Amino acid sequence: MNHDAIRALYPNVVTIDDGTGAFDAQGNKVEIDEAAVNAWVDPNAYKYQRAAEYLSFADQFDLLYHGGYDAWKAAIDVVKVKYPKPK
Amino acid sequence: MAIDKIPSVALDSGVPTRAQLPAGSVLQVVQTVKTDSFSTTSTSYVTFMTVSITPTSASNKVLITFGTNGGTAGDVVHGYLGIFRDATQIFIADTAGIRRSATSVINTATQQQLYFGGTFLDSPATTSAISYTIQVVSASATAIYLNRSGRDTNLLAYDGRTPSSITVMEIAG
Repeated sequence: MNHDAIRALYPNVVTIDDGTGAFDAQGNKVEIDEAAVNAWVDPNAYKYQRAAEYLSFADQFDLLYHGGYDAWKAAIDVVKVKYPKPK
Repeated sequence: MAIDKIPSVALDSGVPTRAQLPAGSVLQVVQTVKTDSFSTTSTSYVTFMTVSITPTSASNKVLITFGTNGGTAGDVVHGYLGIFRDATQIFIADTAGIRRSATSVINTATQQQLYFGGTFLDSPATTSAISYTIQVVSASATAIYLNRSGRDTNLLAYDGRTPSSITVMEIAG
């Protein structure tokens, strides 16, 4: 189950158990539209994708030292362009 | 509760009965394993896992061992794990100011899962069925994740998934 999607689509859901389902604060089961959950796009996905692809801090400092600010900015821009922030 | 000897009457009759076993003997073992994931934003305790056992004597004890994995989506919330015998919280820290007393406290980086485990010898003093539960609560209605990380990236070399278990053993008293 995509817990983030369920919470985004069903704000009344408090607890999600992959084995038994989604429940509200009173423990009542909340019926989930799996198609809608599967179609949900995480608005923060670009952050995770960028973070996974940026150079390590050590490599970025090395790039700054040897290539200067423009080289560092160009390397960062490649990732930002690859994973744009949603409008 | 060391086992020094098996009573001779038990050995003379062949296989000793449960009641003939000396103090410290393990009389029965029950386990629950949870291999899928769980999360909650509840600010009151909710049950994550349950295991049930019925002691054969009120003087016997129950040895509880448990291990869970979990995390938060960064330093944005604290989660608390509690061990309960039916509705009674057990294996809990002393009161210290207004801090929440619990069995384990969950607060991790978003990509991180930590292992939370423990062992506790309980004296339930009953022969009725008992449910031991691992419960979890969120301090501020932000999600606490068990058997997964907060980030939970679906890539081979990233966050991964983990199981949890709770095992109870009746120990002759």
